[in-house]
Amino acid sequence: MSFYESDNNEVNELETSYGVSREYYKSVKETIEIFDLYYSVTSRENAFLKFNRLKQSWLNDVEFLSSITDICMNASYQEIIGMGPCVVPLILADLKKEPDYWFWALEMLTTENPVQTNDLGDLKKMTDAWLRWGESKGFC
Amino acid sequence: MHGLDGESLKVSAKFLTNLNKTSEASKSYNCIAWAAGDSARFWWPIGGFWPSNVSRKLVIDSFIDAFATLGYMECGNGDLESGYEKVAIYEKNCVPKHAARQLPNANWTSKLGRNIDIEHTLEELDKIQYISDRYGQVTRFMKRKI
Repeated sequence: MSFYESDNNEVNELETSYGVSREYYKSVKETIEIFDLYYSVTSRENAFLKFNRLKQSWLNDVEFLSSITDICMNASYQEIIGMGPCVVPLILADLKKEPDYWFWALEMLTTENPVQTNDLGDLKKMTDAWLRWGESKGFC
Repeated sequence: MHGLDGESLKVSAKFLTNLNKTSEASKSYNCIAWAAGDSARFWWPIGGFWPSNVSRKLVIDSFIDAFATLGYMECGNGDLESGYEKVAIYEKNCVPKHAARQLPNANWTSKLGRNIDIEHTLEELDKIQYISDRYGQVTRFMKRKI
């Protein structure tokens, strides 16, 4: 079963909980698979280059900003998040090299947050928390 | 906005050389932290350090309450007052963006985001287009006894 296939129970749930009819699901599923294949083939080889290009653009943009909100809502930063989970190992590797405010991106990409509330704002502690998380998952 | 264009980068490098730099660049703390006297943490209501029991909403009242935990209270101006230390809070489009702390010589000290600390007058910072575009204008002053 492909990533976009759903078994009968899941299709039932789509219909009953979210109002997605079987007909709509079938019509969209194939289009999603083609779209995903196109972007995974055209972008996979360039993920490392793309990440570094966007990272440099982000660093240039946010050099003089104090607002974590502005730092993380930056277009290049958001585009890195848009690269999807494949970029998590790249971010963790970068974090290991030089701590920086990748935490919002990591939380969005992984839906997890290993940082303790008391450690918010402490760059080293937040970095260490995510690197420990990465090690526990086998990413770094 | 994707990246700074070449002109913007030249501007940013140029304005740095004209400023009175008082520290090396650091990502460990930001302007709010520096104004609060903290050079070990990034102060920000969302995702950063924030005083306990102070709202984490990104509004000016949260910043006023945050500085109030350090003994600051609102005052009307940034004039040097004997026996008092002041902070100036900047907003752009009603969103807090920057804070500066007054020095005993009446100048101010600011951490420029993730970059250096500088000593400046409020007017000097206002005149740098690159900075004022990002930080806005001073909207509140606060003071505390020293």
